[in-house]
Amino acid sequence: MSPLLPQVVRAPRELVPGIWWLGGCTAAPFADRILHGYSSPFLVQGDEAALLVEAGHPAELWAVEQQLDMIKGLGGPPLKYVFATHQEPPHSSGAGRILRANPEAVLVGTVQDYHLVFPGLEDRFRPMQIGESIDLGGTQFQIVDAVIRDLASTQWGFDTRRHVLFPGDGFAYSHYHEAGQCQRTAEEVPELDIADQAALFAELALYWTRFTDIEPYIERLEAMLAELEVELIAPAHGCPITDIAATVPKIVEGLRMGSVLPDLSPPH
Amino acid sequence: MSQGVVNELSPSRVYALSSTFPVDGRLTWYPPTLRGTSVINCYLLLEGTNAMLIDTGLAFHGETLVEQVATLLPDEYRLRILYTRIGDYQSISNTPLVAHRLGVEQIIGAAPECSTWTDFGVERDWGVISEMWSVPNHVLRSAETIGVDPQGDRELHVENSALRLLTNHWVYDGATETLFTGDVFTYCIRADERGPWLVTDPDEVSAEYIRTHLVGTRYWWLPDADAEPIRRGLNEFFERYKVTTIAPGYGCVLRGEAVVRRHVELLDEVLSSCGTRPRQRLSPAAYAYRGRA
Repeated sequence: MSPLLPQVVRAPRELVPGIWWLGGCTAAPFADRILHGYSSPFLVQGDEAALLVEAGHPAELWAVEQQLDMIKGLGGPPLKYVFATHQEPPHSSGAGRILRANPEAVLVGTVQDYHLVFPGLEDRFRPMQIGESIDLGGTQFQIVDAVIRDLASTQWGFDTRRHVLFPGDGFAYSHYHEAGQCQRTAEEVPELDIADQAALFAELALYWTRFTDIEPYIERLEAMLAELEVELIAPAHGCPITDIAATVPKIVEGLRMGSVLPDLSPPH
Repeated sequence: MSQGVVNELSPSRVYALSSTFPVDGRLTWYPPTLRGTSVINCYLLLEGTNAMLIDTGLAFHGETLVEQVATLLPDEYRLRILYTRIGDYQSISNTPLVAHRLGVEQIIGAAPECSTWTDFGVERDWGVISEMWSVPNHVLRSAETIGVDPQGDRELHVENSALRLLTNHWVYDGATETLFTGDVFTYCIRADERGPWLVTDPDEVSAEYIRTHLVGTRYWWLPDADAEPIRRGLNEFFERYKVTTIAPGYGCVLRGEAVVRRHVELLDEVLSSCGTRPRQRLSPAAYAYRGRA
């Protein structure tokens, strides 16, 4: 097995009651160090149904499948919904396999393209628009606007009971494995230079921010956090954020830095 | 229902391996109101017994693709795969099927261990995980030269496109003057499955049509963008390389010097009209990536 890929399945971490953090780390060499990144799915449990946010990075599907089995073994509601923020392999590649393994489940949200990616499963796609929600029992999972995105079709999600925002590519940044930063929340790794890492991600993965004015997006982001009274942010590619007031400004600084940095791609 | 189509772009050297699909409002790759038929394209490059497959397409045409490749390969061959876009399903989805049926020596893409990005098929009866995780990989840099053959007699110049959403490596085959452009120049479609899938009329589309396509798909951000650096990058590219065929990841192939010149001009015209909102300019000197050193 590759030295760059997870070789053990870590136990899923319950961030707050009924919100589970799944997946592992993928590694990439950068500037003489090994950076770790996430493509994390999250399981959202209501009283009657569970919903999986993001369907996993292809290299980690085997781990996500085992983690879902672990949680299933603890009891809880059945998995009835899979919601992927957008149509890219690190976010949605496990959808087909998870639907097959969970006959009750349907894929909800932005479902364009998938009839060609997962042919034969079209009758289990339920398109949903921003503003619509799903009743999981005791909580609603709302589809909300994706303020920071790459694909225009991107949607974000929000859990109303625990006030958790699932922002896909938003709030993305890497961490260092050798510093013991894996599977930690942002606030549990105070030594991690979050702004710096967020800038790097923006520069590499949010190319469009180099050519546009990022300030209107930041304004919308801050307004959304206030309006929804977000208490926990669960990004696909970053450490979960439990202290909004302390950590979000670092992400914002990183977005601004990433939008003005020169090309940091590996040299020719 | 999909139809497989093979077009020989350069005799015995470059083949477009295409499969049709409806443009019906269910795709992020075309504006939601556009209707017609398009093709997804993979390309097979041959040089003696050496073969390079550029992109592997989507699951819906996997069996068709394998048959197209198998028919064209010589009796003895060395097959490698090169991805234009590791982050897009259109580039990577049939990799395990191709590798299992035909054997693949190496996978080239813009991520470490990129072969492991491909094991997400709903059916996986053939033990693909172990197969894919043992295929050697090569990580693409932002620009480099890759040989179709081990001697490097036929070189491919690969570099990240100046116009992109995510990493999108354009591949230039100087021997045939063919440029493989991934998700750029993808806008030409047809009324139905009859095609044809090559564009030979320089005036088939307008700048407004291209603008609608770009803004209605992954280049949604262009209207507010300062696109001058992108224009400069594209212009430098087309000054550096002589291109007589543009081979996109989906949509019709643009064929002939006049057609290519016209479409490059139209794209430049669209980009020159971007930037309606002045960008707040911050000095790069205000920031320095602290983890870089």
